[in-house]
Amino acid sequence: MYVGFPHMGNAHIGIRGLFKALGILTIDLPPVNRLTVELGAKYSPECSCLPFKTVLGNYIQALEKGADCLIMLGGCGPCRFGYFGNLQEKILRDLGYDFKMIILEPLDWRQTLRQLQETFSPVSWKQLIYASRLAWGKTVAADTIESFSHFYRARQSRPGIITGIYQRGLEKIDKAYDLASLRTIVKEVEGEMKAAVLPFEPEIKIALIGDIYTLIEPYVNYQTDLKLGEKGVQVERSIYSSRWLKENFIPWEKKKKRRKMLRDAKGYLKNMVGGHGLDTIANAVRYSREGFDGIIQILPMTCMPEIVAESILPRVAEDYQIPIMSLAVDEHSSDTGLQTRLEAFIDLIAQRKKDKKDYFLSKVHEAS
Amino acid sequence: MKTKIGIPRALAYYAYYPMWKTFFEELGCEIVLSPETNKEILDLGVKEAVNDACIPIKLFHGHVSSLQGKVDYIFLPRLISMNTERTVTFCPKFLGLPDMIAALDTDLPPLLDMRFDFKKGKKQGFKGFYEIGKQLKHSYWAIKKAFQNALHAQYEYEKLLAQRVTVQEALAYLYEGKELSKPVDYSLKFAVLGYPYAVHDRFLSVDIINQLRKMGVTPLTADMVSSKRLAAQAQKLPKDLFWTFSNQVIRAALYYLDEEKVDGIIHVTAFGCGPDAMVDKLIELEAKARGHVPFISISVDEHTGEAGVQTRLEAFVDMIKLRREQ
Repeated sequence: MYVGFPHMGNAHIGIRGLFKALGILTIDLPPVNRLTVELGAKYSPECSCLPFKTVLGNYIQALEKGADCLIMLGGCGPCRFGYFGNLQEKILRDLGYDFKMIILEPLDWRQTLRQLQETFSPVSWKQLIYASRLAWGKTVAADTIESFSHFYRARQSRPGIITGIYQRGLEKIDKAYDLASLRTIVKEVEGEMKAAVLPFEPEIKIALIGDIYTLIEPYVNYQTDLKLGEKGVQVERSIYSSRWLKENFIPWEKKKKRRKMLRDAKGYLKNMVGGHGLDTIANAVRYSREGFDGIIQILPMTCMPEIVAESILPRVAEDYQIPIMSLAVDEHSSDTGLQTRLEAFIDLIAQRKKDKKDYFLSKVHEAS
Repeated sequence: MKTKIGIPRALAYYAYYPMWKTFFEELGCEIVLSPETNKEILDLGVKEAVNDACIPIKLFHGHVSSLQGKVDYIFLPRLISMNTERTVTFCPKFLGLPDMIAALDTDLPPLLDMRFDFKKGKKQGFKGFYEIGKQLKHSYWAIKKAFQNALHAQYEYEKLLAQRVTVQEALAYLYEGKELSKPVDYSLKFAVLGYPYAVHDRFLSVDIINQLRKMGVTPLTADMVSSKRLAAQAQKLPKDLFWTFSNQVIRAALYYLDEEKVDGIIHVTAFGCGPDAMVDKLIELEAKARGHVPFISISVDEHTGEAGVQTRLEAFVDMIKLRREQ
């Protein structure tokens, strides 16, 4: 049995590690590319969101490569994500593929466990614990070096050097087979990055918020974090897959996070709207308070929770006097269009900062 | 002087208006409805709402703006859950609707952000009503009585719809004193499925119901199936959808496909609607699995013209008539 799973940023490193350690064969797909999106868009409903199309594209690629079992997460709405697996199964069967679909339903975990037991040969508890620890370690390591790259890229001594170190680090993490070596890899990568930067503070700090898939998958957001970083902007992203896993699978973490989000978004949004709609508002408020210079929201076109957030963000922007830009992406977005908008946004922030400084200096002159 | 409550004639208005109207009138308020959707309201809505929003949300913004200056309060429903199904709620845009309106720049009268949450039964549902009643300075018992009557009015309304009366006719019968016309049974029966605010908004759907009648077709909508019959269809799907109106549509589609054997299915969907992207494909696949029942999806948006829709409908009807003759 060959297992196929969709890609999302670096999440595949952890998932692949888990299956490998359990002795389950997987189909290795190339990162999300134009073919994936085109295949997905061809067979998806027109108004479905880009994540739906990309995941479907990934499944078709996996099935063409010989996968006979597909794995997907379920959910309980009201974001469309929870129904992805069920509809994609129907679409793929309609296209004539034969496969087994396993949807990991959080509300129906007994059924899910039974399905997993039936499909895969029995594994011992020891093996399972070892595999999940390794997979978790890989996910955390990949996310850690990614956040390092966001921090150090704005200070790098020559263009592209941090990205190179980061990519090499990811390859090493993918190949690592025990927790100790993962720790050394992270340390090494941090050391290399520290050696490749110049000692100055970046002038502009921008936070990226929005939907998890469009934030994490670099092909879908046209590597916004990298583009900003190369322009000398320090980037902070609101979500990583490891944090998402932690906040969704550990009940008390989930409760804690929900309370925090509702508190931060107070006065703007009163209840959960599914997906990451509430998180987007809460994060925008938090980053504004933390003194970021600008916020960029990245959302898939027609995403319902993010549209709710998008219509509320202008008020956050006004209350905190912070520029916020919303970028809706779909399969027709273009790299150059995005580049232009990002450059304009950075210029706007730089000008604002300069105006503020000049105004302050003129006041100082007047006073003296 | 009576307190004037403005109700936007959009979105859930078509499904729950009798409940709202009875509740506020029992509390001694006067209801001011926004006019039926027209070009001006559409333009207002497109101007106010965020670009990426779907057309029904834009229309809602337009209706709210058209009430500006005419009322003391604007009623904004926050629909969380109208039944006790565990994972079923509403589209995120319904959940955040009052917050979206509150974030607008314009000067609006005070907003009545009313929470409808019947997930744990009537007792929990009453909380939302009580809060609003208290805001309007009424006693507990007066609110309780108004709440009971509101639920009853809603029950009567749904009973009326189940007798194959369209939403527009039922509302005209209940509140404008018009007689119910005797439904003519044509030989062709179509299921006209879609959310109440897409099908029954005569401007948005370019009056698809009456257009079909003129062509000699009996239109059957999703609200004409009683909730008991709809619930019986639920187990045919691998998993319930998360949105109340979408469940209504997909279950009605299954009902009309299996029990009523309609001649064709028309899905009216608003452009940019999130849940409909899933529902549309599901209906298409279900119709296909049942021996190719003709299916057409009509997507409406701010540029939809009557002639365009009419041409498509005529072609669809002609095709089915031709198929019958063969």
